[in-house]
Amino acid sequence: MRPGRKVLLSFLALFAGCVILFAFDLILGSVKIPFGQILSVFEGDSANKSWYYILWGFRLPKALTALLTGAGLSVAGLQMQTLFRNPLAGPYVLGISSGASLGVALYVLAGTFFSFGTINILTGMLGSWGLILFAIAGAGLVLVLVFLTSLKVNDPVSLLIIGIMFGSITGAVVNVLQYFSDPLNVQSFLIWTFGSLGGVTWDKLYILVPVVLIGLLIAVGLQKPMNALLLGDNYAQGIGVNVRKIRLWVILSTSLLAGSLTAFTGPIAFIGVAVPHLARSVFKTSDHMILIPGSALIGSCLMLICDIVSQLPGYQNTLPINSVSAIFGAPVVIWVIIRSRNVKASFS
Amino acid sequence: MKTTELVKPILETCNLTIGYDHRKEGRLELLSNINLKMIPGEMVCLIGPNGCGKSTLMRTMAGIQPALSGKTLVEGRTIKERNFKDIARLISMVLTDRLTVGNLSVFHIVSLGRYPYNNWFGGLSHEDKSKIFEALDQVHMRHMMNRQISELSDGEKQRVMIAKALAQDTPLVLLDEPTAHLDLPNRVETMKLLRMLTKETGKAILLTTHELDLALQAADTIWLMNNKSHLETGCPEDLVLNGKFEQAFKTNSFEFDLYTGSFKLNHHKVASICFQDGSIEGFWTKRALEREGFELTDDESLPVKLNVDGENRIWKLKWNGGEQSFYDVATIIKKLREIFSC
Repeated sequence: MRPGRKVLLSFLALFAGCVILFAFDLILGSVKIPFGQILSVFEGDSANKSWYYILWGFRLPKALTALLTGAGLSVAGLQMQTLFRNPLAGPYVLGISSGASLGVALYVLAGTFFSFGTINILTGMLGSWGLILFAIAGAGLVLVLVFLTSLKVNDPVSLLIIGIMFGSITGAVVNVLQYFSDPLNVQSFLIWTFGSLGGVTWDKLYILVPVVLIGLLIAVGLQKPMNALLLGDNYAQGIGVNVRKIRLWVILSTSLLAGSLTAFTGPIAFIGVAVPHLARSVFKTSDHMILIPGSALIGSCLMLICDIVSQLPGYQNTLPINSVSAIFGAPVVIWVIIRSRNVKASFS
Repeated sequence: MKTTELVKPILETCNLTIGYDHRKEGRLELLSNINLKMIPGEMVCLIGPNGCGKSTLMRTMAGIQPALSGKTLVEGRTIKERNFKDIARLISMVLTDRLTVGNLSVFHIVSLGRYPYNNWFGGLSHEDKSKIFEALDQVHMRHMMNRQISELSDGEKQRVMIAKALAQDTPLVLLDEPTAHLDLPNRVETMKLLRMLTKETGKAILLTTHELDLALQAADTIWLMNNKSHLETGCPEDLVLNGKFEQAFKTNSFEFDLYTGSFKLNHHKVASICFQDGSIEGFWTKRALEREGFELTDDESLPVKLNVDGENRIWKLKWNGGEQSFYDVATIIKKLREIFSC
């Protein structure tokens, strides 16, 4: 019953696709590095020092971030869709991205209000880490609130609405901050909301990689009860699932994934909602044993493609990753959904 | 433990009170101080009008919903002191909850019944598989096991969920309206299957149903609830004979027929007709005429008399104005309407 031949082949194809796209992501960009040179560049044999710097210092961490972001956001979205039994749910339904953007808005825009105060000193001391710390704090704040309410509210639909309300409140506060802020600061805040994979350097990856891996591991550990949840809460409890406990673990895993990724890369929309649908139509199942690795692989591939496209090979400019993922990804998803009519079957 | 009790009950409720506790509106008690017992091999049908609390009682017994007071003992220990997996190995359930997932195969859904037994991976052992196939055979769904659940009809989905409960292989099975959505053959088949399981495997089965005649035929014990927070238990026939059955369901629009064990619509009476017959044709003629509001008696002095010749299917009607033969029920009804001009 478990993985049939077709499923294994799909996994192999996706994995191969991931490896190839990863390689392309390293090669392509404003400076083209020949494929044959990559290994020798890493071994330090190549005479071209700038290639080494571009690959090691910029493109490799960026490609790794693309992998992590694609996998993490897709799995987080899948978990939210199953938990809320709602095809529109994604990693941000609990208000995580709004929380992070509130943190970032406070950090970036606060200069307007405290131009003489301690914040500026803080900014100077923290450098690029300050933004991330504030994003984590903002996402964390909303998460703690959602977590506390989920202890009280024993019903996923209410939780979903409460998450959206938290998002609205934080979004409104951000708007107010923007309204009173210096346009220059607003611009740098807006750039953060466009999303960027390039800002994640090695020292940040040292934190991002373990957090995302832990989040993914929890998700994989939850695959069996998640399948039981597909039958509905009562049936799940009837076959021995502690539904409340599982719900908290799912929220924790999603928080780690979406919270950390949003803090480091900005709110990357679209992937988290779309990829689980793609995975369901590729694998024709709702089984999480297959969907979790499937979504992670599809998400990684998509993120790598988006990153390649956003670098506009041959040009000096890059496009914001958020726009690229939606402009190129959405038509693909629309096409898949129209062709497979799979969404209705999964959420009838 | 009294020595007179030969069989240990598998399920027991002690002063159980069920209902809902709302923070503001206060508590709504549906039934209080319930003391019930089920023994292995017993088939119990829980019946009662809509809204009397059948599903609530069932959910409370299974530990899905908290009891307002009192407790449920399964195999001598309370539900509360058991963990979820433990309970899932003792009680399996078929609920009225609508399935919202479509993208799983029938086999996969039934295999979830093995959830409390298998490891984290959810892999199926040889024993797991044989239980799943057995359950699929029992509900006649094996040939559909690779179909997606979204492709099935409501009745087929219901059978899949029954198979899931059977695959769970528990000594106690609770089914909330398992025969809803099923066609007549499958309804009868399901009741037969459940009854057979109680006798052959010693499972105790509790089900709610609105199929009173089926319940009367299949149950060892009936738990009868009415809207006045009252619960009667007993052998089905006893409940019929002492009138409890009628009490629970009686309204102005229909009455319980003690002869057939089913409920009859109470039709507005038009007239009385003398009618004597015991054949099959007679039985169905009687039904048709009663539906039309005629009271049928054996009073020879009545002006209108109807006789049935069952062998030749000829109906002879005598009335003040004459006599006529009929060859089907519809024309008799027409003629009678004419005679009584209604």
